[in-house]
Amino acid sequence: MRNKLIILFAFVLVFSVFPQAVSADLIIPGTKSVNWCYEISNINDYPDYVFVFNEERVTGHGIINQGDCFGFYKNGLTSVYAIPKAEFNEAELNREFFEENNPILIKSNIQLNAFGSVQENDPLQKAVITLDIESLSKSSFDVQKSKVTYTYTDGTSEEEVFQSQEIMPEPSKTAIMPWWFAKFWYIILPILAIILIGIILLIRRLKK
Amino acid sequence: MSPMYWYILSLIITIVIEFSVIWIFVKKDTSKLFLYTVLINSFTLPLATFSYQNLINNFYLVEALVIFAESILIMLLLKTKYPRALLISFVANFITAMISLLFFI
Repeated sequence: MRNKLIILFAFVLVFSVFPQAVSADLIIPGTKSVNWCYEISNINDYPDYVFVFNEERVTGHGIINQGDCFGFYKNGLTSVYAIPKAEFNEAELNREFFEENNPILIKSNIQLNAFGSVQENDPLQKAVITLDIESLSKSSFDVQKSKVTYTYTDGTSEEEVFQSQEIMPEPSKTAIMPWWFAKFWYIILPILAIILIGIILLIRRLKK
Repeated sequence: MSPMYWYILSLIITIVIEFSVIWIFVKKDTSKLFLYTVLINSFTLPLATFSYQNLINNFYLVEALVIFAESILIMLLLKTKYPRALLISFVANFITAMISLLFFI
């Protein structure tokens, strides 16, 4: 029992001194994660190649087909590769396969990262980032982010075109008030009011 | 001004106007009437703004639902007959709806 308490105390101490160790994989209070993924728009234009993504830390790798929307571990950096179809064997796909010196891998110029989180009351629900293959040869593979499609909680969606590869276009609809106020305004205030109305009516009935 | 303050301001304006209308109809128990108005509007206004922004993007339909909901609460809290409660609710919300249309929407 005493040992368990010591372990528990040490655990609490470590995570209170290094809070980033906790927050690295959790959602920060007042924020929500957005359902996001990447797609490649023109895979069918390159029938002689197989396209794969690889995230080294958690997600691992996956084959990307036309129409697929792929995601990966939020703190991971992901690379996209092309492999000549004639040389591709799915059974060979493993961690070692993606080492730098693999001659059949054609690494793209792009490195993908996660979309991140938004304020809890933000209307953004989903973000689909579309990539275009600009050019592909045995020695180079150029991929560009072309657009992001935002879907909102009211069911509407919009497309925003990338003006710069480094800057994600902003969604046009965002949270108009802080999350804590939204929670107070939309949930706490009406519930509190109807409870008090109920209490008034109940007291009145009991007094009869 | 932050949208947060607009929401609070709209609640205060609504409470003041609706309290004035209810008081014109009832003219007794001023403090109780004020409390009832605060409670009724604290219940309906947040739900109305949420409905208008997320569920029913139709101002007139939302107002109609608010009139109906408030008429029931007025009937219960003021112990009045439903037609009178409906009339009070209609007049109060008609005025606040006009102000909303002029200044907020």
